[in-house]
Amino acid sequence: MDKIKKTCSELKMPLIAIAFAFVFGSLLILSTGKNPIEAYSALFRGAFGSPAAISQTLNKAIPLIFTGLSVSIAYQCKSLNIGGEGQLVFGAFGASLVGVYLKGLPMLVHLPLAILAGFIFGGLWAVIPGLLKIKKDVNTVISTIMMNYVAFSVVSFLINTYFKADKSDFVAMNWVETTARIPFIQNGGLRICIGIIFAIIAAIILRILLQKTVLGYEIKAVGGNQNASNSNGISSKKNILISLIISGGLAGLAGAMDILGNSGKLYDGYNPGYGFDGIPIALLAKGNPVGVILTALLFSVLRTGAVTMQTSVGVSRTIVDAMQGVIILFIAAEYIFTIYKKARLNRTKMIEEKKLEGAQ
Amino acid sequence: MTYAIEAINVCKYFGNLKANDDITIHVEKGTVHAICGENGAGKSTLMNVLYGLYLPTAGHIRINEEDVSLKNPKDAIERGIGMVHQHFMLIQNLTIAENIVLGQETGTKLFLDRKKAIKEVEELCEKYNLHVDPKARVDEITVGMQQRVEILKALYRGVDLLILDEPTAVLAPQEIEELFENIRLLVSKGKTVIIITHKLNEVLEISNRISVLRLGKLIGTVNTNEVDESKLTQMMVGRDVVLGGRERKETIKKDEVLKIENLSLTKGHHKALDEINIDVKSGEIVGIAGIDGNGQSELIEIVSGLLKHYTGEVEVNGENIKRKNVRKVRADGLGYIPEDRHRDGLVLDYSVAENMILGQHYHEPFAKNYFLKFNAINDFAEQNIKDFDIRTMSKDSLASTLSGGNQQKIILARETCNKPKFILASQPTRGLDVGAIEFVHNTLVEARNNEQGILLVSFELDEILALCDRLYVFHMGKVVGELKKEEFDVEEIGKMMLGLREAKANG
Repeated sequence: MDKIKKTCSELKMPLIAIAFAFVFGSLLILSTGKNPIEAYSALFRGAFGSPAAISQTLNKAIPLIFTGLSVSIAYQCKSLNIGGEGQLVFGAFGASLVGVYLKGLPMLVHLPLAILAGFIFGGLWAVIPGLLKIKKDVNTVISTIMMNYVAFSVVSFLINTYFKADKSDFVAMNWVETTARIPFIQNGGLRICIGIIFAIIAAIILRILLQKTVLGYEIKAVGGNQNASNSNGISSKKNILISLIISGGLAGLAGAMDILGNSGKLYDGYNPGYGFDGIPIALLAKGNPVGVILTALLFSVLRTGAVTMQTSVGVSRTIVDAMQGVIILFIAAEYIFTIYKKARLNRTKMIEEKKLEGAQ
Repeated sequence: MTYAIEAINVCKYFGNLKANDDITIHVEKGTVHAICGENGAGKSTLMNVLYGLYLPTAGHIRINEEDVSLKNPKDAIERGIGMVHQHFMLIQNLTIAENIVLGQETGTKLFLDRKKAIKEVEELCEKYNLHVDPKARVDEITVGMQQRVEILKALYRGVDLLILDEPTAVLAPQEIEELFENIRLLVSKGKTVIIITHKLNEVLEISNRISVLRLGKLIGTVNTNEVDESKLTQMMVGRDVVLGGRERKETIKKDEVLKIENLSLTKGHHKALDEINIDVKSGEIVGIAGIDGNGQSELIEIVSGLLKHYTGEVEVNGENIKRKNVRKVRADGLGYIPEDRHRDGLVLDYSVAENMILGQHYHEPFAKNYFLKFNAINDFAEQNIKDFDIRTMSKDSLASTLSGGNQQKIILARETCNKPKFILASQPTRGLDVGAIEFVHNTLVEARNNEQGILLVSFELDEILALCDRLYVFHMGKVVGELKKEEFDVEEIGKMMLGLREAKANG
C-alpha cells in the first residue's frame, strides 16, 4: 500500500509537468491560428499511426534510453554528468573501430565486441572528469561539459586522419561490417531495431544494481551523504569514479547503438544531441531506470510525431522544443523548491539542536 | 498580587494532537516566569496562544485581570505584550535604528526622520542599559546584539510583558550572563518577563516561578526557591532520571584497546596535536576534557582512521592503524559514535534499516556475493528498533523523519550491538533531551561493564565526571593532565582546561 502511495506521489510532478507542456503547446498552436486538437492528433498519428511510425518511435527511443540511464546513475551519486554527448561520440567511435577494422568474425562475437567497445570508450572518456573530481575536486558539471568539445574535436581529428574511409563523398569512417550491425525485426511494415531490447535490459540491470547490490547501496549512500559514507568506510572517491565510469559507458552505448543499429557509419561532425536529451529524460524520471524507459519514449514520441504534425497540419515542429522546455522548467522549479525546502528544514533542525545543547 | 497575564484552561488541538491540554498559568506582575519542558511539550504553542498567533481551541486569556480575546499579534502588541522569537525577525540590510522603529516610523508619510529615530533609540538604550549602535547594520552585528535589538524593538512599542522564546539557545556563556542582567533590570523597572527554555540551570538562576509542561499538560507551577534540578527534571520527564549510567561493575582492565604514543599533527603553521600519549584499556571509560578546538576533533579523525598524515604511533586493539583504511579499522573492532550525527553518522535520505547497516553493509549476513540480503537486514533492523526502543513508524521510514534522540539511537545500535572491543564516542549526547541522554549514558556504562573500552570526548565536563573512570585534559593540542576517578576535582580540571596550570606528574 505504502509503495503504491509513494509511487503515486512521485509520479505527480512529472505528470503535471507533461500536462502543462501540452497545455502550453496548445496555446502556442492556437496563437498560430491552428487547431491544437488537430495538431496533437497528427502528432500522435505520426508517432503511432502506422507500423512504420511505431518502428521509428521505438528506434529513436533506443539512444535516448541509454543517455537517460547514463545521467541517472551519475545523479544517484549526486554528480551531474552533462558530458553525455562527448561520451556518446567517443562510444560511437569505439564501436565503429571494432565494427570496421575487425573482420571475419561471426556476428555472435563481433557484435558484442563492438557494443562492448562503445561502453569502454564512453566510460574511459568519463574517467578524466572523474579523476579531476576526486583528485582536485573539480566540479563535474564544468569538467564534463568541457570534455564534450574536446571529444568532438578529437574524434573529428581521428576520422580526418588515421581512420578516414578509403573512398567516400563525405569525411567519414568506413561502413561497419555487417557482422557488427544490430539486426532488425521485420514484419510487414514494422522494422524495429533489437537495440530496444538491449536498452530495456540495460534499464533492468541498472535498477537491480541500484536496489539490490552492495555497489548500488554505496553509490546512493555517497550521493546522500559523503561525510557519513567516508566515516563509515565507504570511499566517496571510489564510488564517484565508478558511477561516472558507468555513466560514461552507458552514454557510449547510446553512440554504439546509433552507429551499429541506425546509420552504420560514423561521419565527421557526428553529434546527434541524444547526450543532452538524456538530462531532462533522467530528471523527469527522477533517476529511476524504469522511469527512464517511459520518459525516453515520451521524448521520442514528441520528436517523431512532430514531423507529421508539421507536414500535415502545418504547425512548426519547433513547438515540440518549446514543450520540452516547459517540462524542463517544471523539473528545475521542483528541484529548486526541494533544495529550498531542505535547506529550511536543516536550518530549523540546526537551531532546535543548538537549543537543546547543554540543556540539562 | 496582580497578574500580568493568565491562561485559563487553555486547550489547543491540531487535529488529534493535543498540543496544549487544559493549561492554567498565572503570571505575576514584575516577575520572571519560566516555562519548562522537553521538546514537544507544548511550550511554544502556549506562547503563540498568548501572543495571538494561535486561537485557543478552548479556554481563554486574561491580561491585567481582564478577559481578552487575541485575534492576532497586533492585538497582543496593543495590550503591551511583546515576543522575541528564537528565529529573529530582523531585516538584515537595514540599520538597528531602522529595524527598531519599523512599522512605527517617525516623520512624514514619505520620508523617515532618521535623526529622530536614532535619537529615540539612543534614549531607549540609555533607559534600559541595553547598548547598541543605532547606525550599525543588522548583518554586521553579533547574534547576541541582534537579540538585544529584538528586545529594544519590543520596548520601543511600549510592552509591559516580554516573552522570550529560547533566548539562550544561540548565545555564548558571557552573552547569556549579560542577557540575564538585562532581564533583571527590566523586571526592576516593573516589566514582566516570560522565558521559555529547557536549560534547567538557567531557569533556576533567572526565574521567580516555574511552570513545567509535559506532553501538552501542565505538570505544575512552583516557586524557584523551592525546587532543585533533580526535582525539575523529574517533573519534566515524569520519572526519576539518573544520568551517569546505572551500576558500575568491577572490571578487569587488561587489554589495551587504544594506545597512542607521541602523536603529533601539524595543521598549517600550528600544532593541532602535540606529542600526545593516551591509552584506553578494556573495561574503562576514559574521558577527554577540554574546551572545543583544543585538538579533540583531530584526535577523533585520526583514531577513526580518516586522517593519516600524523606522526607517532596509534594502535587500536593492538594493531597499528596507519596503513589501514577506515573500513579495516572498523572491522577490526572499533565502534564510532561521531560528534555530528547528521554530517558523519547518518544518510538522512536512507531508511532506518539502511542506516542501521551503514559500514557493515558489505559483509555477511547483510551481503553475499555483491548482493544485499534484505531478510537479514530487516531482521537486524527490527531487532535493534526493539532493543534500543527507537521510536519510528517503521524500519522503512527515512532517518530524516526521526527525532534527534531516536536518530542517535540508530547510531548507538549500529555501533554497539556487535560489541566492538573499543568504542570511540564523540559528544554522544549533543543536542539530546534528558531522557535520551540517560539512555546513551546507560548504553556506554553497560559497554564498559561488558569489558569494552571507551574513549569519550565531550565538552560537557559534568558528563565526563559522571561517566569516566579516568580522564585526560586537553589544552592547545597537549595533554595537560591525567586524573583518576578518585582525583576528579572540578575546579582543578577547569583550570587545566583553560591552560592555567599543569597537573602534577601522574603515573
